[in-house]
Amino acid sequence: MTDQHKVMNKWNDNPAEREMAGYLLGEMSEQEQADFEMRYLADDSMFEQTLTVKQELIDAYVRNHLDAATREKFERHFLATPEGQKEVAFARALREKLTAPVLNAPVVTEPAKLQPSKLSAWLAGWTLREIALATATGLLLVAGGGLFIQNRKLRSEVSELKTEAAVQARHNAALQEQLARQQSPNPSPSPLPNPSPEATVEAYNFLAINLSPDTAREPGDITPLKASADNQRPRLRLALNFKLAGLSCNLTLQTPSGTKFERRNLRARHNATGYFVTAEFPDVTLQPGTYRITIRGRDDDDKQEVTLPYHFRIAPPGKQ
Amino acid sequence: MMTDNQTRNSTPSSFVPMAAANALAFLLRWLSPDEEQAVQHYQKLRRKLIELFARRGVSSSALEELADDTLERAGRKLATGEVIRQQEPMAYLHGVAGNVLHEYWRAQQQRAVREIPIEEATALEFDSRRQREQQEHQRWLDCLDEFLSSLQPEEESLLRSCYHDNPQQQIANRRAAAKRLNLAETGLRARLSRLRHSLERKVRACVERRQK
Repeated sequence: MTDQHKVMNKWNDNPAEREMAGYLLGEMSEQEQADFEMRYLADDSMFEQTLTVKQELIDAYVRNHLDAATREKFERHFLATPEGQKEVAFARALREKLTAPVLNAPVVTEPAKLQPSKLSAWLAGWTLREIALATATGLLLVAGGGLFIQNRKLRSEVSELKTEAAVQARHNAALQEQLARQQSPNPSPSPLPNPSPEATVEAYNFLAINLSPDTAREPGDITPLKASADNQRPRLRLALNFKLAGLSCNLTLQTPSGTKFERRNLRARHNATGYFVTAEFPDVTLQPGTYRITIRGRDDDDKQEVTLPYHFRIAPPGKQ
Repeated sequence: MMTDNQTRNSTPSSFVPMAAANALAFLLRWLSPDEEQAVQHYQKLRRKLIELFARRGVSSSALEELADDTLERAGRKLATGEVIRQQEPMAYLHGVAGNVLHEYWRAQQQRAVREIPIEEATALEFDSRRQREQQEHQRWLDCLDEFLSSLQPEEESLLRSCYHDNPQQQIANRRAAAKRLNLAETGLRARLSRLRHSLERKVRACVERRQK
């Protein structure tokens, strides 16, 4: 996909546009970001060009044309903003509409109107047999036209099915790759899962898991959980025993195979029982073993960095 | 991104009287001595500020307010006789935007602590999220239907050919379209960008109407 990305996106070849993409993907320091914004406030054409790069970036994302690293940055930075989410929602819908086949209604053209007198005069020169032959030919042409339209419609449907199959195949490949990574004895560290856009709209089978920090419970106090199906994914709700400064924190989930998944800048919420954060991991299929979670944030009271450990265990099939 | 309404309301004349009007007059004079040009500058700056705040994570509903607040503050400063060095007017405006953004985030943090109701905290978490996403997606599709059909046939065909799931096909289609329209590739990109932006503006306004 990297090559496709390079071929596909012009901003890779153009330093100015690469800088624009860097801004949109959050690759700049605060100072660089401010300098960039000051420049586009002053320069209309630079601003318009940045909007073009933004659209192309969004479209490349929803079409799965971005390489893994760019995709990760896009999700962490651009997609983390409410406006970015809306822009992506539009692009997804546009993609769906534009890839749908166009079923053109058969064009009905009015036959050239002949004056009755001319028509009668014209037909007068024909024998009955010739008229019958012409009528039959006309009927054949109409039937042929109908078949042609029907054929074109069927072709469109086949093309649509092929597109769906391709999307499904890509999604399956991504899941298989994920599974292989989890089963690998020495998994390469995976910074962030990169679900394909198709994957994000699939209805996942989530297992809701509520956890307290390990510091708040007795050692060994873990009841193994039973995943009811092979493809269950974790949906975590983690209670915090402190108030987060800025109400945001980073979370790392480590699977039994050692693969790590991160969520950054998670927003904490508050209810009567205290602060908590939630996170879904559609890319993690629950397997038997122990999952370890770490939350890192800053305590609002003493402004110190806090690390909270959590864990849960998935029981092997057939055991409770 | 601005909706049609937002574009209409962005003309300075729609501002309400009092000190803000005075501040605006100073700002416009500062932007250009020519009134018409000043208004154009103002609209462009407002659009850029909206984009800037959007990229900084401000919620969609607050974007316009923050952009207006920034411009008004800059105008008020000018009204007090403060001289903004001509070499760095955008650095000054950016600084004001930074202050406005800082205040916005502080207010958001305080609200986040105070306002999340208990029942929402538990209910909003998991269950209905996917259903909400699907409903929202359907709204986008319905609105797109409405506006795609209102495009000129050649515009729709341009969109269909130039946005393709297969990157190689997309490149080939874009080259062919540029040749057909006698445009350079950059010209075609700009044209597509304007077309898509205009479509997005209309569709977003429609989605927002249906959400209400």
